[in-house]
Amino acid sequence: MGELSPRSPGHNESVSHPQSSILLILVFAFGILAFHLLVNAFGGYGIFRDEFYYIACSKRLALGYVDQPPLAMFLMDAGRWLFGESQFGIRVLPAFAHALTVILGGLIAQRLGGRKTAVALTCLAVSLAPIIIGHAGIFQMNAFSHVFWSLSGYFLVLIIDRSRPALWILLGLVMARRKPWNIIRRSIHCRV
Amino acid sequence: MISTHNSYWFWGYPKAGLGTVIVLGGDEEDNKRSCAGLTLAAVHTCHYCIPYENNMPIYICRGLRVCPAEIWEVEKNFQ
Repeated sequence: MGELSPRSPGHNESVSHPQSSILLILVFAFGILAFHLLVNAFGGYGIFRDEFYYIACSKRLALGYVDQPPLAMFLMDAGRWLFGESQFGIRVLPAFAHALTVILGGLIAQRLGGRKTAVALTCLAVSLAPIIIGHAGIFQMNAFSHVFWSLSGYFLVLIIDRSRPALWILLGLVMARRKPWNIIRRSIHCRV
Repeated sequence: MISTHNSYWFWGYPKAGLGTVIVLGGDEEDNKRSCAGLTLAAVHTCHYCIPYENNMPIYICRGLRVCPAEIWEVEKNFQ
């Protein structure tokens, strides 16, 4: 497929109309965000039992739990505070996480040289992937994992594309999100 | 709400006032040995849950005979 062929260094055809691709990406992102918000507001099966556990964890914020890293529980606390302790309220941030994943997928496709069709196909695939819809359909840390892994992929593409060593630090920061003490280790390891 | 599962285990149990507890599931004979009086209050049914969680008995246990510390020691469940 010519749409997906990688571009050579200095070849800027794919980014000659970045605004149109960005607009396309945002349309898909807002579409999936609206889908989640509507389902959470008017559908669904009520709060999932694991979500009750996460609510309990977020009421006892800590730097670690038996079965999960801490960030998701801080996000749950923020979500409850911002949007309310309801099925809709606690699932707003996972919905945004799916939208962010769509944006990052589109940006990766664009950065790899994809034109509008490739970008649209990527956004469609990330929007409709059942595993991501399922993970972002309730509150759980996996919804945010998709964002961080996509961000890692995006940084990796930027590193290959632009050859900027400083981006390795950002990649290390994103990949070390689960355990803060891994930040330095991974950043150093990535640069070797 | 107290439990020995995952983080609930770390959060512990009240130091007093555990004379009467609501028990979700478990073996009835085991529960009877742990309580001075055991009453089946309800049976929880659900259409979409996994089979072993359907028809779950809910008991009221009065006069808990087992020391909570002993329960925490034996029933720690990290998975």
